[in-house]
Amino acid sequence: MSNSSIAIEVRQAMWSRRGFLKAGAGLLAGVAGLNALPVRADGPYRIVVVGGGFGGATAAKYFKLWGQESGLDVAVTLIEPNAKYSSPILSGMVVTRQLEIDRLDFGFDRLQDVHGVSLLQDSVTGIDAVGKTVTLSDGSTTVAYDRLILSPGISFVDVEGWDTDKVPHAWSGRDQLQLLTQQLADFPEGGTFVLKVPAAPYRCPPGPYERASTVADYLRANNKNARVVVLDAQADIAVEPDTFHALYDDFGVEYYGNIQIERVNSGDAEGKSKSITYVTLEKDIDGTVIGQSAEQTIEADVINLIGDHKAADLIFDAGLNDGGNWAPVNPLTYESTVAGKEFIHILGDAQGTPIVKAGQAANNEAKVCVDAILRTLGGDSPYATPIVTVGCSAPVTQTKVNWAGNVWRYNDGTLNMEKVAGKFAPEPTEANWQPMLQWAHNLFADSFG
Amino acid sequence: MNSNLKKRNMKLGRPAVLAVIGLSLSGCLDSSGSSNGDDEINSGIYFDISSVDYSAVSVDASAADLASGARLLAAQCAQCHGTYGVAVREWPDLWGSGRQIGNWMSQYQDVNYADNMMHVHALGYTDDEVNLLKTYYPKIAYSGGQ
Ligand SMILES: Cc1cc2nc3c(=O)[nH]c(=O)nc-3n(C[C@H](O)[C@H](O)[C@H](O)COP(=O)(O)OP(=O)(O)OC[C@H]3O[C@@H](n4cnc5c(N)ncnc54)[C@H](O)[C@@H]3O)c2cc1C
Repeated sequence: MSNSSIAIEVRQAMWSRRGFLKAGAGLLAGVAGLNALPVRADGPYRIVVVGGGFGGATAAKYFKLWGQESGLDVAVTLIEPNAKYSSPILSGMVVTRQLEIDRLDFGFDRLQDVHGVSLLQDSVTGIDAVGKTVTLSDGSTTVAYDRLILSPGISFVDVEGWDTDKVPHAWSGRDQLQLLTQQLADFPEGGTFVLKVPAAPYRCPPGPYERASTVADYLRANNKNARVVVLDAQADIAVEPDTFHALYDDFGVEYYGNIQIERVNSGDAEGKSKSITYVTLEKDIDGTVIGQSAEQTIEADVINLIGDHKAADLIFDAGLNDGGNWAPVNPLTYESTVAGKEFIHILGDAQGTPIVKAGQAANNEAKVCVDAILRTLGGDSPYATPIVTVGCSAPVTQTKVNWAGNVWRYNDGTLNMEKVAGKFAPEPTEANWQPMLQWAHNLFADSFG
Repeated sequence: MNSNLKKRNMKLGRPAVLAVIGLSLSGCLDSSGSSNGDDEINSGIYFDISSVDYSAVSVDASAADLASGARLLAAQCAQCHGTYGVAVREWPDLWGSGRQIGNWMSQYQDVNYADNMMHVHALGYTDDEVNLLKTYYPKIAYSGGQ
């Protein structure tokens, strides 16, 4: 493959510059030399960020970095209930026991100690968009803001009988990840594993298909002689169908499309006797439902029910969803477009632009939002044609890794974001393993470091 | 073809990490009974997020005068190439680079790089936007270790 050898040369050329440049460093003025101009008469400009995931952590960090660079005195408070954030990115490796769960825990020390963000370990239970305050979990303490940034992630549409303490989604949060990992570690020989793929839009489009193939390979490698079933809300595998159908054929995974879950039996006190009941929808060429099959039930030892998504509860509680499942925003600033919700910005999976729901997207949306707010504070206008670049990479088997890249750009005709470039790895390879770790490491460090 | 790619990875990564991944994979394959707890995993994979020394980053004061979009577009590179283009692990830095960014972006736009995530990202940028990147990164210097 001659392509890769060209890549080596380019990359080596980049590295060799590193030593050379160090010699010249230090000639330029330091950031700290700039004076911070107070932008409010009675103190710094108050930014409150809710949610310490990829969107929120990045926003908090960049407000401090760029605020200082722009000479603006910005006080940033990050509100997050967990002492550490558990990254869903690379969590598939935890499920298949190729990575310790704590390696994906990221605390907020660097945000506090290096960047000067104040941390409140708490949750926000209410927002007063007029008085510009948020209420904390005790129901009475309030925190005032000049701008409020929300990146609270997702919640799940309910399914009859679904108890997430027994039937994990493992799509958000450390406890869920631990639960699925444990259930698979205890998987009985000859057992059945069922995975439900949610209806779009959902977090990380290739993710559910990857999880099914990695779990199938993991169970196979551990001689579990398992039955693995994928129940997909989509008519067919929505992402890289050829790659995943080939993997599923290889691992004997049963795949069914157009599935609608009717209910789930989450099992007895010990979590045994679980089952999932569904129908297959019949659709015409436009995708309109014209009928459905009789109900079918699969008894399973482990069910990974990745339910249909909606924005986190806070978005609904605060009336930021405007009747839908996501928060509508202006993609130049990520400010809510709901009347009366000025000065509230929503990032990441919870917002409703067409941008793919991904951690890297949340990171980049945060930068667009921070830049726009600081520019506005400085008497300028937001940058007019922002880009959001997204990369995803994850194992699809015990050894092979896939990647996908997308670029989204603001379209000033539609006033929305649109995808202008997108591509998947031609095939999953072992060679992608190290680049995946390097990519993720940089993303983690840019967001939390 | 595979050996070529392997070679690239040995150079990109830390050989020690590769070796440990090999071990953990075979550990997985060998284990037959149920396994509980992280103590049985030994991935050797760590994501240290504290390696960039921000006190060693300097931003030239003239960066404030750059055209709207320069800082923001440059920051869209940072999630893979590090905040201010100071990358972690063995991965290309961008700080300090000007004309080279233009060269790299046009090289990566080439169809020959199709099996590379950077290809698709390079395709997303117009020439004007690449020019903005070229104005920003020369303003950044880094004197720390990594
Ligand atoms: C298996 C898997 C693989 C993935 N792979 C990739 C990948 O390769 N690349 C990629 O870019 N993305 C990937 N993703 C997607 C990525 O993880 C999400 O898109 C990303 O986490 C979204 O970031 P966020 O900031 O919107 O929300 P989250 O990361 O979910 O963070 C939300 C935070 O808000 C907090 N919160 C919620 N409500 C409140 C409240 N009321 N008060 C205070 N705090 C609150 C939560 O505790 C949480 O910490 C993957 C996801 C999964 C599940």
